[in-house]
Amino acid sequence: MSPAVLLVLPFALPLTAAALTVLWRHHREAQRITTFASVAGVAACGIGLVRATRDGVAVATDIGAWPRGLSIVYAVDGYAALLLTTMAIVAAVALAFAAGRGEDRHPMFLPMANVLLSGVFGSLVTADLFNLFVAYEVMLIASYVLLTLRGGRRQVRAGVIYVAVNLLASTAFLLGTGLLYGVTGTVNLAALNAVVPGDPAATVGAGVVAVAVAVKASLVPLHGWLPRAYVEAGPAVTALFAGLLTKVGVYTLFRLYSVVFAGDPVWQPLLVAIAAITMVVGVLGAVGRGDVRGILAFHMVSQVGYLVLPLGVWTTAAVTGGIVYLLQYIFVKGSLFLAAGAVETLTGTGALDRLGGMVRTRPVLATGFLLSALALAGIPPTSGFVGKYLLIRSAFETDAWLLGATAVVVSFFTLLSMIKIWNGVFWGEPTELVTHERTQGPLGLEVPAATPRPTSPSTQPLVERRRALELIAPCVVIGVATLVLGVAAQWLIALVEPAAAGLIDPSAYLEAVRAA
Amino acid sequence: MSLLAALAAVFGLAAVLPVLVRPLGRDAGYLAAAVLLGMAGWFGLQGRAVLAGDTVTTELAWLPAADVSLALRLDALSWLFALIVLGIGAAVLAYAARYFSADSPAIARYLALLTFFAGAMLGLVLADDIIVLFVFWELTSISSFFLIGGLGEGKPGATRALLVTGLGGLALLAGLILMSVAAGTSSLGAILADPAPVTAAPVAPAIVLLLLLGATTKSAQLPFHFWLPGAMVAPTPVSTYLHAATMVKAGIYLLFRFTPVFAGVPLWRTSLVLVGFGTAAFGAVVALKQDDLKALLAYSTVSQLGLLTGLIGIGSPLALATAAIYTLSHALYKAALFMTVGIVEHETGTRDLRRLGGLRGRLPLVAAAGGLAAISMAGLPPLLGFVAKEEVFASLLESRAELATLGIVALVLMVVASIGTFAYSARYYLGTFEGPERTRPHRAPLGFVLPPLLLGAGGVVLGLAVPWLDPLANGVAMATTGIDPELHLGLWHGATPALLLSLLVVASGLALIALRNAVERAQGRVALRRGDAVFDGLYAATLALGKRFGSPANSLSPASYLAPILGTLVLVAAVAVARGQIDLAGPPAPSFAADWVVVVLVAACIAGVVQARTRLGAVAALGMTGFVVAGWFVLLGAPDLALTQLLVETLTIAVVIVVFRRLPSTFARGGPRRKIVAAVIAAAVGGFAGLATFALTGRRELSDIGARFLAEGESVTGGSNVVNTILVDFRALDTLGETTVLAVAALGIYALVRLVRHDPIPRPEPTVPVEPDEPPDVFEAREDDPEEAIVHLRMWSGPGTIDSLILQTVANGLGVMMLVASLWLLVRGHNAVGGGFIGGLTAGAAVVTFYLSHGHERVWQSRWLRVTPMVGAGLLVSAGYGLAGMLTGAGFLAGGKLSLPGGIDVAASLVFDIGVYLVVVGMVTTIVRHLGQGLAEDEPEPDRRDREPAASVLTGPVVGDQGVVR
Repeated sequence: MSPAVLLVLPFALPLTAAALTVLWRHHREAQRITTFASVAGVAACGIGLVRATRDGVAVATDIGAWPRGLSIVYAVDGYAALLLTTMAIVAAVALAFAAGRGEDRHPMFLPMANVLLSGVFGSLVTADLFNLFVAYEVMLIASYVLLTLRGGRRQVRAGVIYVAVNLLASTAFLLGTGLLYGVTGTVNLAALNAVVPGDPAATVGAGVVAVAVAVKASLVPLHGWLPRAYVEAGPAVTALFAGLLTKVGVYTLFRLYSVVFAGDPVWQPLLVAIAAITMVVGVLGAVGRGDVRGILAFHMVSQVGYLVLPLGVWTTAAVTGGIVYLLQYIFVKGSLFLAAGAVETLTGTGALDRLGGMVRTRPVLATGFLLSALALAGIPPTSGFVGKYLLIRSAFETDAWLLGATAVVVSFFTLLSMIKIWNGVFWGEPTELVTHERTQGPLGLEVPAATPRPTSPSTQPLVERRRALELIAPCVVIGVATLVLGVAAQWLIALVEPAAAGLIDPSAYLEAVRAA
Repeated sequence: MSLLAALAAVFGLAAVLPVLVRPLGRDAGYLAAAVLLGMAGWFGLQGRAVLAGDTVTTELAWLPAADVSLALRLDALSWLFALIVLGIGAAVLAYAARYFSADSPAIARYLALLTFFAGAMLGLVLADDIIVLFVFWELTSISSFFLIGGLGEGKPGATRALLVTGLGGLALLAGLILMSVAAGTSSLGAILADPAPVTAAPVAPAIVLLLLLGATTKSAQLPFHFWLPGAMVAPTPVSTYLHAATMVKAGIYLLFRFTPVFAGVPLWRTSLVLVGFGTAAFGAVVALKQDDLKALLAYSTVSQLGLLTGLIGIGSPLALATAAIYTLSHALYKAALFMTVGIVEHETGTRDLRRLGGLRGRLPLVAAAGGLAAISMAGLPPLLGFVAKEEVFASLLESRAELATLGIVALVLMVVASIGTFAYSARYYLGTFEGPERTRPHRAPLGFVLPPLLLGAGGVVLGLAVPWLDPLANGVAMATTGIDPELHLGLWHGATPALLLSLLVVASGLALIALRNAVERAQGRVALRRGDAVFDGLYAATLALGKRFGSPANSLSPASYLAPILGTLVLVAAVAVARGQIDLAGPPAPSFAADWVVVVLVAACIAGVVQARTRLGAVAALGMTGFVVAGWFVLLGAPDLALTQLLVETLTIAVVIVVFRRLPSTFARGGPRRKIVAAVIAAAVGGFAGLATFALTGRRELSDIGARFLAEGESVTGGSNVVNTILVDFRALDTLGETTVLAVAALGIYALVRLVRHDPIPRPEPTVPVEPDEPPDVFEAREDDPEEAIVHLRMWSGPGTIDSLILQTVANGLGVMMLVASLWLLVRGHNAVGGGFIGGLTAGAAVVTFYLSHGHERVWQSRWLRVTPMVGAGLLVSAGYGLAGMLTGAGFLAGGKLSLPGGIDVAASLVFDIGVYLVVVGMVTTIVRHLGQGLAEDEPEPDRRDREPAASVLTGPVVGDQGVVR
């Protein structure tokens, strides 16, 4: 297929699927088939784009084929292509989990998920700052609905905060884009290349945009909303958000720094400080939490620090490490949230002090969680180790001692908090909740304890086994994948290296955008 | 390749063991032992060449891009450790085959994990790449965690062990990465061959400290020793293998390994000697005090690992050769001792010295094994332990000139350690096997006793034939220092100073035993602060600190999350202003006096918003700004924008009225402090935003692209309304996105408001008490029932909002006229004021009129005013328009002409605009339908029949099919 088609479909397919799933809201199977077909299509496009951009090439197309300079341009380089493919796969896994759990029973779940994906992929492929804002809006509006879809009081409460923060960030994004347009007269990323160094006015505009994006990426001190909101969503939704949303923010930060800021080293001390503080504050917050998803949500903040570490170093080695880390981390965090979701679905709680001994009742789930947790902590030979090794090494290579040391120390606390979950959930004596797993309604609404459980021995295990498989398989599959990815990391590094070089020197990307 | 194959074979064995346990039961342990023994034999055959100085290497690419390869290398040092790993491993697996009862469900797990650990340990000692070395290092820590922790029985011990060794592991990682960066390679062989770049690097002291941290945590040196006694909750085979013979020696291996690099660094030597011999003396003294046999042996291990650490720190060829012999000797007797303790515990049910004694009568073979091992540990001839201890004294004496004071300190500590060792060795043996029998043991089967007996006998054989070990000792010294000490081991070297020291040790030890009651009383008075208590304190403190860091994210007030963002924005602006490089002078571009009128009016409206006490008042004032801006658009000659703005503001007011009637009419009031803070933030943000807009956007002419839209727009698109051509042609992608946002907003309302409770709806209470600290007041706060669905959005049925016959009559006609007008606006949009958005809003106004005049009931029952069909279809039409362009080859969202029957050409983008129109009407309909008053019945849902009783408090398909998977 021509690159133009590959570029457009990741946005257009989920959007069309969204429209169709709205119309088919009463036909769940049709909704599911449409959605998975669309996600599979996007993944296929992603693979096609990875192939097309393998050697540091970038591909671009103008939307609407208007005279050059008048259209919005879609462009993809190796970085975007790899991320797009990864996100499509993680989205498929999270949606499969949602189906297994019955979380997609709400007639608007899959439509909203499709819109979310459309916005996410649109954000990755666009080379136009205003269109990026629009894609963000598409992504966020769907996330507002998904977050509150469970409809509980706590969800709405968290939703108010989430919406307020993101609306403010979006306003700032729009303001910054407007200011930048006011100064430069363009929103095309190629035309915005290197406008910041040397132009204080453009710096203000780009700075406001960067702050807005930093909110979405949840960099400290703009992070508080994330652990507040993410823990309240449905488990599959949290996994979806964890795999996609903040990562889009990180992606955009890289893109902006590469293109608009032209990698200006002036900002590196600031970026180093932000990365280090984000790592530390996030991990300490995680250590202090007493519920599985709370710990994981704070880890998202902490890990963002690792993800933006390359911005403060900005060498090909660092960016390679950063991208490898990002790609595998999207899987890992998705898997951990799915494991947390499985625990919550099976037992009805994620509170560490009410759980225990699940290694006895659910050994496979324990294994899946463990592999992902080790990957998060960067324990070899998981993929997380490779990513962390590359990052720390790149920091030390550029004499960024403190940054590298922070990354190492934070790893320790990451390990500590993963052990905390492991000890609380999987080791120890099984609690009442663990030994008597509850039948679970859709959307995480528990069947009240007073309701007598169906106890017919002939049917009940069958139902539970099937559900347990659907709940546990996604996390285990990803867990094993992190191991494979760690051992076979060379393959990934070889793919990522040209992509990283393409961020350090974005000329191929810029050329492609200009020529579109 | 053979090294790799050996390594792979061990891991492979670990993988298949769980399967083999099924048919073989615990005897699978013997099979595993045989495999390891066979491999030990194979390694043994390499000995002749390796000890002569040859190395066997092999390499497999792993991460060439990151300069890491799975390289293995066998030299004398690796050979020694590999033999210990495999040999002791075989003994432990054979022992485990009888230690676990035949029907134990844990046997498969322990056998597999022990074998996996053997592989990790083998990889560690063979690695020729420092990163690969680290990988195996961490694998040993992880296997240790699960071997100690079991299924959670040993949770605290396992956690402490993992966190302490994990901390050291990360330090090691940092050190190794620094080393590889300094050396320019991660190849161990290359670094050892040319250590100069590493030692000359400015970070060399940091590397040394980090490596030491790694080694001392792993090998349980002061002050990290406490995890090792804590790890004794593990089953005895685990303690024997990991926590006596091998894993804890990984740190020792590391020190051996990097001696060639760092032996010349003073920091290395001083810290190793002090920490090492200090730990040796400390461990020996503390061991003496233990009543639990495993704890006694654990502290003994701490002590002897300290001795090895100190010995390596001395760094002379003799010391390194001695360390090699000591390592071997220790592995043999300590493994045997642990095994005997395991047997004793197995057969008597206790390992408490106060309840043991006289077991020699019924367990003679165990007593023999334990006795031989204890004699070796005590350092008495003719066992290997004696030779090893003699050489330690000899090494210290040899280097005393070089070590100066340090040497004297070390010697004293070593003597103390040896006395202690002698005494606790005796205490172990005498307390367990001699004296009166206190607990009657079962008989131990021969297969259970054989492994320790063989290991104990090994100490005798090697002691008597100790010259055999010369090549090993000298080979290791060669490999680690490059110098052959030409050591000749023997039981008798004449009356050397070392022998005199040994006599002193024995005499003092015997005295201690004679006075043991007094000694025990004295020890009882000394209470050491336990390391694990300190650790637990730190752990708890970390959690408490974490809670503090996490607490901001517990707030329920949205404002507390917004403040940091606003603050950051202000910071950005303040820095920009402070640097003063932006021209803040007035805009040179044409400006009109009327603009100032707009500014004043907007300011007045904002003041109104701030002043407003009621919600409605605030929204009305805010709406006024919208109308003012619309007026400003008119002044600027942008009727499309003005019209859009007016319609949006009008509808917003209508929506707000619908929604706000469910909220308290006034705001919750904040305190004065909060008001001041909010005012400062708001003023700063607003001021800077205004300033930035003024300075950055107010001074320019039309942008290039704006000029081109005006100049080329009509010729390219065929549309003369430039606003519309931008919306549906040039930037149709943005419009598609924003249309989606609108559609989702509608669907969101549709989805969420369906969750409202379905019981008889009361009239609104006259006053809803509002808690001042309840920031979002759209719902009640009831923390005690977190999962209950929101029920606060109360609805009530009633007649139309404006119950007027006149309005109803007029409204019908008005509605039809508005609909027609909306279609007209839609169609002409490409060339004149109008378009899908404006048309849709106009039609939406018709819907609102219908609602106001005829009431919610009629809207609800209408066949046409349905949300999902309208919104879904609108979205599908818009997206489909884009895809159709792609299918025809013109490109996604490409414009063009459509030829209708009758020879009329219209812009294809009209289709796109129809989609927009539908979504906008759908949006308004949603608001009226779902937020309007009187929500009661929803359309019947197909799966409602599945509803269970528990779900009946809620309405809609959301919970309609609760629970049952069919």
